[in-house]
Amino acid sequence: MKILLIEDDIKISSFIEKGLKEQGFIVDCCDDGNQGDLMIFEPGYDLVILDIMLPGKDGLSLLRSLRENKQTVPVILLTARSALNERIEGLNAGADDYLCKPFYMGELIARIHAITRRASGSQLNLLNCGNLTLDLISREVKINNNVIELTNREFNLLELLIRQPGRVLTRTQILEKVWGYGFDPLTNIVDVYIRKLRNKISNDSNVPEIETVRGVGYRLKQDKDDTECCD
Amino acid sequence: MLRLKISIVTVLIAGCLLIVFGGYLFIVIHLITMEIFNASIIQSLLEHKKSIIISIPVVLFFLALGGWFISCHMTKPIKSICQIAEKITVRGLNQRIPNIETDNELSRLVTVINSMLDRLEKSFYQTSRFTADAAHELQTPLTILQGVLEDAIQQAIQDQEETQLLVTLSEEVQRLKNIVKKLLILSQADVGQLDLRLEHVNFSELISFTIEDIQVIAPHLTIHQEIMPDIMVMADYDLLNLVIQNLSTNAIKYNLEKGMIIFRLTIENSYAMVSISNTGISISKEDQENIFHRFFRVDASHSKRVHGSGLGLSLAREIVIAHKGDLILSESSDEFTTFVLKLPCV
Repeated sequence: MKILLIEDDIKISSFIEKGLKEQGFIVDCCDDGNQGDLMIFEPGYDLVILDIMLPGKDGLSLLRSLRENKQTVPVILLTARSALNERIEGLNAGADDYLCKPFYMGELIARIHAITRRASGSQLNLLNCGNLTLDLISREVKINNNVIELTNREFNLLELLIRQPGRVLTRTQILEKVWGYGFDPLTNIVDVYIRKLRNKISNDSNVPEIETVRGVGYRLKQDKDDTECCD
Repeated sequence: MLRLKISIVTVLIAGCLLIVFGGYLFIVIHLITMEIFNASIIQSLLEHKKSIIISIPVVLFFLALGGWFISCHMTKPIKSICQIAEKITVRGLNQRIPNIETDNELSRLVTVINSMLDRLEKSFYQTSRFTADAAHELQTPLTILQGVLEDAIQQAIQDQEETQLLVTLSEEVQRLKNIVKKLLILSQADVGQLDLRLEHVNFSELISFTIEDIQVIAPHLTIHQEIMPDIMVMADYDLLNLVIQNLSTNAIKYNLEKGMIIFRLTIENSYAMVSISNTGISISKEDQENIFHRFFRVDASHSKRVHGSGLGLSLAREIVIAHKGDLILSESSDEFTTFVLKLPCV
């Protein structure tokens, strides 16, 4: 999959590029709006990651001219100011998704996967990993078609892990994504919920394991034989 | 305004009385000095005495009436200036008072007030713009820090000292991120442009989830709850969640070793009312006035060490006010400290 990254801050674009390449994506970078305006029309890109504040032409006008020319390539916007108008303006201009800075690479990768799944027409509400299935609409979790009862928090936690298989998530990162940012980051709440979740799902050998990375956090163990796992 | 009108009327009447009295004196003095002794004039004056006496109050009444209307007319522009000025708050500092061209003094007053408003608006927006810009500028380095650290953590080998260091750094970045986020919300709230993503929120559920979390975070505390089920509010879920988490965290932090937290959720006059009470040391009278101020923290030296940025309560109140609700400290005695939050129901 070939991705065009238009971002003026070289330090930001370099870690995005690195993270995406590790996932096996091919990445082209561009740090200027005017040059981006030319590159964005080149055929062959499967996705564009677009910063709004750019020297030369800004991200929103690039997006508008892209859509005016009936180009349907998916676009993820990166915004620094998470103001309401900017977000609505971006989605109205034809963005498929947006991400507010500062964001986690894992999240960007998860969004890219979600968009490509949408484009390929696969069932959007279902997330699979091994014989574990998450239905995002009915909020049901099944192992081999047996429904597992999870609380709201446990479900959100499992969804976060399953969307970023193989990646280490720190406790603070999990706390922010599942609980929001109102709790003291020093609590042990994440560990307690991981323990609860493990007890509920890990009685089957085909269910991916939630692995503790000592001193760092947790990750969903990705089965190396099965690359399609957790798509 | 009424006093002004009455004094104008009084001055008018007093003036008229003076003129009448002066005229009377003039005639008397004139008659005496001229020594003209014409009986017929005195006679006719005395004859009309009754009608003169009756006519005086009638004339005075009309004078008062006239005076009242004149003063009403005079104070009308002042009244309209007051009405407009009353409406100018932080949310509408761009409003100005329309100029009155007929009156020199008043139009000067209007110009002075307007230019004062200009200066006020300018400095106010400069301040809130500064916060917004500062928060915005901080986001780029934070994005880089977080991105690079996240990448390093992915490559890290567990159980090594460097890994622990990276995690510590990433926790601090997270803390900085939260402060920046909160400052940005506060600066948006200051100019009345808080970005609310309103949706139907099951308030009862949100509070029940938080109570579940508290039971995990603080198993040493006893929790009582009286939650009316399925109370719905229109709110920004993330921000409301932040408010409830913040109040709950405070209730844990400032509690006794084996204390208690009481949650109540009811409906009163189409408002959802939440009260969160905790045992613990009462907040002193002077501190009670300050707890909603930014970066203010109750001196915790006499209790245990308490973490936090001191932005929580001021932020919580701004968020609740943006939702057309209110957040108050309703009681702080030696027994309980209680915060009450009210939000309009759907």
